[in-house]
Amino acid sequence: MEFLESNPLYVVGIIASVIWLGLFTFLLGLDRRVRKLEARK
Amino acid sequence: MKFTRSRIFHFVVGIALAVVTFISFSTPMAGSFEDVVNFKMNSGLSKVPVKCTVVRPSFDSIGKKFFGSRDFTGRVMPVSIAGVLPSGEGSTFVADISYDAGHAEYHLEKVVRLDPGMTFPLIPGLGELGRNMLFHVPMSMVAFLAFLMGTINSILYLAKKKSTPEQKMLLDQKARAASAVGLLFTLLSTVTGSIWAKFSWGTFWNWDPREVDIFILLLIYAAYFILRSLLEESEEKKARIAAVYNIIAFASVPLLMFVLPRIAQSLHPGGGGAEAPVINANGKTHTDPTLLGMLWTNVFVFVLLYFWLADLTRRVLGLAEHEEEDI
Repeated sequence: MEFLESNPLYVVGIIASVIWLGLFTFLLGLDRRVRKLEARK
Repeated sequence: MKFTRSRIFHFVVGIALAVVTFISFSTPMAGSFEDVVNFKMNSGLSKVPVKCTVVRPSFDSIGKKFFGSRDFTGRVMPVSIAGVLPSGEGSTFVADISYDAGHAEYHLEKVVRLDPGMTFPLIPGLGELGRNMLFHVPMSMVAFLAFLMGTINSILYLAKKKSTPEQKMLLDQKARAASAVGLLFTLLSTVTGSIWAKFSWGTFWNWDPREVDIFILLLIYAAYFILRSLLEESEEKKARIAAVYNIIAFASVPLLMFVLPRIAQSLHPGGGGAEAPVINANGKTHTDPTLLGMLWTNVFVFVLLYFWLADLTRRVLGLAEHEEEDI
């Protein structure tokens, strides 16, 4: 925490990573759904 | 591989996302000469990055070297320098500048970047954390757009009584997809805001009106999906009930996102009737043009990403429904 308080650019990095991670998790969920549908066929 | 229109669109969105993320991080931050004095007086900060333009190097009576540096306001400020200037007259660079209050003199401490091009403004009290604005704010804006698109599709679903079942199904899928992506962006806005709050205000959650409002919005739209999954009616009836709920849910969005946070006292800028730094109630901006340009560029790219995600989600929902019909 102290490191992040003295290096705020890393906090911005964490925030950008959270966004990317959230978007990829959402896409992964969609991918899993498509795979399930393909498996059923 | 065929270069279809959608593939080109996906490629452009991917590249644009990578570029805006890179620019958001790599643009050097720079304040003004006033900031150097103000920061020294108010927060004891010894040096502040300032974008300098070399105007005319000169020597004083005891041989101390100075160079003139143009401020954002166009004034020429004398800055003392121990070594050699990094570049010639007319060139720009970002340098850490300190202020000696005793002699009322600016000193060049360290050159941060030569020929920086555009610079990110130094926001008092935020510093580098100000860059979060380029990620956190677009999340909320896209969430609003997504909920709006979802509601428009729900209204069309209820209004178009003469449409074929396929057309109505498509509108329902579009409404669901938009709300799902809206929920994702609301969640990302809450999480990113919470991390920012920890480093700006001390705790992850402050029960600030905007934080509470976005959390209520999150619950309202989570309830939309729970309600839909719990209904045991026909698909058509489910879609109709969900469309009505979606329209009612959206009625709370402007209130929770725009009205309440501006009325109540808030840690966020623009709360309690105070002027917001980005866009105030009169639609006027007090924001640095570079910051505003970067913010709107990021918003635009995330809007493109929204259309991609919503379309993808809609297609998956369509496939799932066709599959269920076949069974």
